[in-house]
This record gives sequence, C-alpha cells and structure tokens, in this order.
Amino acid sequence: MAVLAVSEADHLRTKARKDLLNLLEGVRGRKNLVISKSLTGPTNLFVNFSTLKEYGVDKLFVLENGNTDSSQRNIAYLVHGEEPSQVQATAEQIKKLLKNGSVEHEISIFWVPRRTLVSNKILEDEGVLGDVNVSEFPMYFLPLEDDVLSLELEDAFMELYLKGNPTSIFLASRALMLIQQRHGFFPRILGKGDNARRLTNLLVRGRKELDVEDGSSYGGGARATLPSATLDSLIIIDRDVDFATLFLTQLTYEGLIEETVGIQQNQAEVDSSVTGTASQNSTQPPQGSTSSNTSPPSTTRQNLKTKIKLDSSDSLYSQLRFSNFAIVGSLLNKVARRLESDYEVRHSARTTTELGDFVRKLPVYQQEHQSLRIHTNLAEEIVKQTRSEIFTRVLEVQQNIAAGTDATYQHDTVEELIARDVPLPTILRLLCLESCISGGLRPRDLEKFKRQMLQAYGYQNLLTLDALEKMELLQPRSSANALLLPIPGTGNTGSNAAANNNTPGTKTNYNYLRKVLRLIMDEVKEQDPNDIAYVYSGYAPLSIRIIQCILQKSYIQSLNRSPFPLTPASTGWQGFEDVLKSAKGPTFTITQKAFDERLVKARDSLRGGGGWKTIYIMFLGGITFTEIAALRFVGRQLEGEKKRLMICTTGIVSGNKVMERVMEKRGFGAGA
Amino acid sequence: THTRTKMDKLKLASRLLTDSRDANAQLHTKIFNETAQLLKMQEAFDKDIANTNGNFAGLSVNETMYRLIKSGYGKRAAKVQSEFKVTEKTFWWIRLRALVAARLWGELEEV
Repeated sequence: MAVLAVSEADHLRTKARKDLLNLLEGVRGRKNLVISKSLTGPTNLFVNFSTLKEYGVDKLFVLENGNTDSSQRNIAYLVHGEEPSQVQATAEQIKKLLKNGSVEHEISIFWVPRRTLVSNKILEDEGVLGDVNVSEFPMYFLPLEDDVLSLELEDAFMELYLKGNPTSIFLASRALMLIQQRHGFFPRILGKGDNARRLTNLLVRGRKELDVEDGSSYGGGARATLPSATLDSLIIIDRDVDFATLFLTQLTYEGLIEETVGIQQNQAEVDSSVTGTASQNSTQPPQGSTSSNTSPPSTTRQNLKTKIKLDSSDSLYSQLRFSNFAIVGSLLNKVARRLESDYEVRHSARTTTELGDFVRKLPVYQQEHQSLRIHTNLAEEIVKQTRSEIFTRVLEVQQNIAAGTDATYQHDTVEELIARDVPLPTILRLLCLESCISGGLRPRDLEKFKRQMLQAYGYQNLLTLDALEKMELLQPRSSANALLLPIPGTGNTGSNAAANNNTPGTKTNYNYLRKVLRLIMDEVKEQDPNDIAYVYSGYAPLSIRIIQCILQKSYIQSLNRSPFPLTPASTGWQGFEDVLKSAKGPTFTITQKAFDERLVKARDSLRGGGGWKTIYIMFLGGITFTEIAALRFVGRQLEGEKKRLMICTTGIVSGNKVMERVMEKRGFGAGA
Repeated sequence: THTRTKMDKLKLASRLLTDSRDANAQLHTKIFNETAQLLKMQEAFDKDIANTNGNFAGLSVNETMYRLIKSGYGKRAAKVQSEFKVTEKTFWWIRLRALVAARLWGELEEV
C-alpha cells in the first residue's frame, strides 16, 4: 500500500476543486453558475471566484433568489440532489427559463453529492429531464480544518431526530467508505447509539460489496480488502447519546463566537466596526479573494456587516479559539506586547541587513496587527454580553442543573427570564437541559412553562414545543419514563445500579454518569487546563468522556474511586460496558479482519511498525465547537502514543442552531 | 376577514380534538381557544387604538400587554392579564419594561 503523504484534508480539498472545475470545463464557453444557498458556504471552502472565472463562469446566482440572468446561453446548476425542495426549485426555474427565454439555453445540473431517483422523478414531472445535462459532483466530506471533516448537512439534526430520515447516515457511510478505499479498512469500528449502529451496518455492507467487486478485478483490489496500517479505529457517536451538552453555553472563545454571532463554514458575520474597515468597503472581507466572493452581487448588500474568516490560517485565532474565554483577554494582551516589541526592533537596528530583516518581516507584523485588532474588538463585543446580568443568570441556571441540584429551584429564575422577554431559544435551551438531565419535567411544571412561553412568544410555538417533545428533548416526567431510566429511583449507588440492568439504556441517565465519569470538575485551571471540563468551566461533555473511556482508560479510572473492571490489556469499550448501559443506545465493537491474515502479517513486517496512526471519530447528528476543543485536548495527550485524531461530523451544531431550526416562524399576523 | 378565517380554522381544530382524553390534546384545545380569544381582543384594540407601530393582531399575549402599557392603556393591559391568567410576577416585569421604554417615570414610581 502506498504511503500517502498528503493529508486527508488536503486530498479532499484538491479533489473537490478538481472535480468541480472538470465539470465546469465540460460546459463549453462562458456560463452562469447557479448555486443553492446551502452550498455557497461549503463551495467557498475549496474554490474562489477568480478561479471559477478562469473556468468560464461569468456570473454567480443563488438558486433561492430566483433572479438568474436568462440572457446567458449556458447555465449550470450546483444543487443538493438529496433535498427535494432544492431539486423542485431547480426544476421550476429551469422550466421557466426554457419557456420564456429568447435565448436557446444549454442547461447542466451537477447534483451534489449524487443523482437520486427522486431528483430524476421531479425533473421528469416538470418536463425538463430531457432538456438538461445531468452529472454528479461527488462531494461528501469537506475539510473545515486539517483535522475536522464535515458533511455540512445543516438539517441533519432535525432529519435524524424529528423526521427519522436516515439520509445523513447514508451519506456518512459513503464518505467513510471513500476514506477506507484510500487507506484500507478500519481495523475496528466502535460505536455508541442507535444511529451509530445503523452507520456501522452500512459500512460493513459497503465492504462486502467492494469485496465482491474486487474479486473479479485485480490491482486496487488488494488494498481495499486489507485492514489499514495507518488507520487505528473508527469511533462513532450518535448525538442522541448526549443531548444535554448541546444546550449548555459554550465557553471557549470559538464557542462564544458561535453563541453570540454565529459561525457558518469558518466565517462569522460581524458588525463592520469590529474589523475597523467600515469606511472603505463594508462588503469586502478583509481576507480578500477567498471570502464571500461566491455570493452574487444581489446578496452582498448587508448593511454594515462584514464577514471575517475564522480558521487556522490566522495564527492568532488558532491560539485563541480553543481557550476558555476567561483567559482570552490576557492572551490578547500578551500578543499585543510582543508585537509592540517586535516593532521596536527597528530602532535598535544598526546595520542595513538588520533593517532589511525587519522590513522583510513587516508584512507578517502587519497581518498579525490586523488580526489582533479584529479579535480584540470581537472579544470586547462578547464581553459586553458575558458581563450582562441575563447572561450570568442563564449560565448559573445551566451550571446548577448540570451539577445535579434540584432543577425546580431554578424555575423562578426561568419564569423571570420569560417575563423579561429573553429570546425563546435561550429559554428552550434551559428547559431542554433540565428535561434531558432529570429525565423530564414534572407534568405540572411543564404545562406551566408551556403556557408561559406560548403567551410570551406567540401561540404558533405550540408546534415548536410539539417538535421538541417528539425529539424527546422536552418531555413530561411520566412514571413510564422513570422506569426507563436504568436506575430505579430508590437505590442509586453506582455499582448495583449498573448490575440491575442488562439491556442498553433507552435514555441517558446523567445523574448516574455524572458521578461515575466525573462530569463535574470542581477545579478547572482555565490558564492551563488539566481536564476537558475547561471548555464549559467545570462540566465535562459526556460525549467526550465516553470517547475517553476508549482512549484514556487509566485517566478515567483516576477520576473515580471505585475501580472499573480494567486490566492493562483492556481495549475498546472493555471495562466500561456496564457503565455505558446507562447511556442511550447500544454499545458495540466490530472488527474488520482481512480474509487472509498472512497478507497483513507480511505487509506489517515489510513496513515495520511504529508509524503514526489516525483514529477517526464520527459524530452523527453534529458536534459543537466545545466538543471539538475537548477532542483536541484529548488528542494532544495521545501524541506520545503516536496517535492522532480526525474529527468527522454531519455538521457543526449548537443549541442555538438547533432551536433556530425547530422554532415555528409563521405567526398569526395579518399577512400570515 | 383574515382574523375570521383564522378563527374558523382554530375552531375546527379544537373541534377535532374535543373527544380526545390525551393530556396533550387537552392542552392544545385550551391553547386554540386562547388563541381565538386573543385574536378577538386584538381586533378590538386595532379598531379603538390608533397605533403607529402597526397592528396588535399577530402579537403574543405578553407583547400585547407591553404595547398597551407603553401606549398608556394600563387598564386594558390589566384586562388582558386577567383574561389570560398571567401571573403577577410576569405582569409586573412587563409593566416595568414598558414604562421604562415609554419613559413614564411618574407611573413607574407608583409601581
């Protein structure tokens, strides 16, 4: 097997770029490109407008704006083929163009990531299937960073947990199959949760299919049928194993940017006063070519908003993003001082070579300076919010609930926050947090809050509340629900509780897991964190603790006084099977062996062991920025074992992003 | 007329649920009735009160009380409060916010 020096992220970026440009080249001459709204951001990650121009793209349009210029002969559509609403919009637009246009059109569609039966049917029903050239743009994982691959499916959470639509699981399996075809099979797949199980079944089947195909040919075949020498294992976590973490306020710098202004595909839209470039041109992002250029002119009329890029190309941001916000101020201060002394060097420069050195470094300093200004302003904006009374009270309620104090003590505060018209998503997050952690609200309390919310935010939100109940995020605590909890209400000492139950949990029992896996850490050193709990200033996300049960067994053991059934030889879930029965869904391990073990032995002896291995972690239903920060923290401690982590997900989620999707937007106003 | 069709639909919806004993369905019925009641009151406010800030119709219960107080119709707001059994605490906060927004310091002192 060839050792692939190029990082997976680079490979994916280059491939996406090449595939798209090839498709564009296939359309001869100048063309207009129409992109669906949800794909503009992702496309931005690997190609910029000037490159598209070189490939004959004249103008860009957003599908949903419906303003596609009909004077151009060639029109290409880049649309998600898995989303019927987008497909429908495309079909209707094409129909209109073909009917009205005075020009004879040549229309191409590039379905992302694949052509589906539904898309064919819709095109056929609209009567345009015969008039368009259909191709596929097989883009699955998109690298947000070198160690973060995302499918960027913004609806995955709702689709999985509200509608029960498994499309995102299927797409994840495709994406992971591509990785396995490149590097060999994951020797082991470990998973937690129902959807994790479904994904694993798809992967196992995918491998069988490949084996059958390879049986007839040879060449690439041998690679695909062998377990990888560079991949360690794949760990799949279903979001519904740990919903509660989602509703806590993220307290890292990056997390708080998401909480306050929101981040989409490594970009945040901020007030132009933050960048200090307002007077020049508010629509032009400071990073120039790589930013919002793919949005067409019609959507760039944001009043005084600027997009800033938030990724590791900004060295200052990569230092700040994973830090607890409490220390961001002092970090910025330190950088400012260093920069100042760097500038001072010019006064002490004696020779022309020294001066030359300084001048050569000047652009770097200037870039740092610009970035420092942006982040100082942005941090100041955030401080304004974190210092507000409401923010502090919300945080207090969250931390009390997470710590397991009787949540009913917090109800007065929640009632007050509703009366003070705090945005509904904030309120819903508090109540969902309570519901997830305490196994539902008392029916009387729940009804009281429902009425208060409906009166405060409008009766249309009855639909919002129903949706949350259906997803089991906001529920009444019924006797039936209580029975489903792995621990009977009376005896809640850890060891016998686990023994009481041999079936996988149907609900995650935070009260039990909080103790056994030490979810609450009293002392987190924000300056120099000693535990992942620093990302929420004292709460360790359960989702990541579960992963630590695999990767850092002795550390988890050191947190708990009573010993787990561990031996030095324990691997996978071993030692924690009983504990994890208190988390929702099955816990499982699959080993993918070669059909001929001798092949593996021969290969390994040829290669010699000891190389770096990558552990893939897949979050189905989405991952938060704080969880990414926590995983990075874990990853740094694995470096000694020559292991690195690759974080994969269906998309980045946060409490606000989820609520934004769930909330009913139509009201009872005159126009509605 | 917009309000009419909405009321009709709400009535239809609650009729569909009348026989259900499910706790959730009962809550839904209650909410449908409240919604209709609110729309009716808002229609009256829109007729009586010249408001430059747009219609009352479509606002939530709390927003309705807030706007009434802000425009100096404290009595009507109190009526909304009793009609929808809004708690004293909630009403107090809404009053406070509305009076501050309207800079009605005199009345604020009476609170």
